[in-house]
Amino acid sequence: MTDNSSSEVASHESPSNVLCACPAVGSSRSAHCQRLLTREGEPGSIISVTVATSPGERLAEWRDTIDPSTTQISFVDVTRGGRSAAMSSDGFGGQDEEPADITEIEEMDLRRLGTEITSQLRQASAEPVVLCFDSLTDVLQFESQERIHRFLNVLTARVDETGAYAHYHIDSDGHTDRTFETLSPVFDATVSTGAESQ
Amino acid sequence: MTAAPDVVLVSSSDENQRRLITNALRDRLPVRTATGAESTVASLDASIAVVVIDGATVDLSVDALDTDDERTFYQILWLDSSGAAPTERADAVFDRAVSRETIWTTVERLQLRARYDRLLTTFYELAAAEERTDTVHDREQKLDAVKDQLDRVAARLDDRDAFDIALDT
Repeated sequence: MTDNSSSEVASHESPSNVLCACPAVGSSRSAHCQRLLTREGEPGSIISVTVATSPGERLAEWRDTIDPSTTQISFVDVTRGGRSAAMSSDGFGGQDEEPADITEIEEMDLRRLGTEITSQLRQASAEPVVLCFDSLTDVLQFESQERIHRFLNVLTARVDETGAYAHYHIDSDGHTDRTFETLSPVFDATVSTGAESQ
Repeated sequence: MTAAPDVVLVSSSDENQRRLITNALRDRLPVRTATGAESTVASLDASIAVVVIDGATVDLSVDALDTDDERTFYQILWLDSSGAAPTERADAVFDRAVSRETIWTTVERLQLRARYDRLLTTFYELAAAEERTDTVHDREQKLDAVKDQLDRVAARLDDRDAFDIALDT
């Protein structure tokens, strides 16, 4: 992604669907994620989609921001995608109690993934409801750009209809400018940062 | 961007059946008729959203409907005395004796699915276009207009239909 300016949010004042383009490695990704999770205050519910990361990793990342005792957290975990099912079921990185529900999807089945997310969006009762999708880069390894584009059109419409807030991670260094130009119109806004020094 | 497909093509060589179906639709939707396989295939163009085929009287292989090189968006409602379609390509299947109300609600739903498919394709092609003659502002306006239509149609589809259409490419 050539836009190396610092963090910016374009377009809508209160966007429902935000593309979060940050380097896959580094602190900006996590910082943006936590900022987007809490942009409408403490979330009542978080629906977290994980593909190459695990639920445990996500919870560890949110440790200082999200309190699982006051926020309902559920994971839709695609267990394929660069990590083993065993790592997925490990879930919470050694924590004794599981403070969240996990729905496992064993293959990259966009239809099943989509209907599961939309079902959870409708069932979530504690507001605000926040969806964190981690990540489009992982999904793009398995599916064509056009198919993901179409999938995201349905998903973003459902997020909007249910009054939820969503952000979708993508590796800003992992795709061509054309990919960003193609995907970004699906979203209400884009948050992006330039490459970070390690 | 071409107009959204909205025409229903009714294909039956049985005049009574053809009249029954068209009467169920004509007040509310633009309808064309065909009386055999050849005229059905010849009538297919970009304006067609739904093809209603009376499988008991029209000897038509559904594969014959896909000979065009261009991407098609129409949905197929197959009517047959056995209530079974000869192919998975049919999007809805009913017995020939189906009620007018069922024909109407099914065609309305299929028309919406066709419209959504067309809009999704248009939106992607606009977003992914390599050669751009529009200014950035014009491109954004076009994309916003299509996205607005997409969201309105999506709101009228249930999750299953919406994901089916989006992912059956």
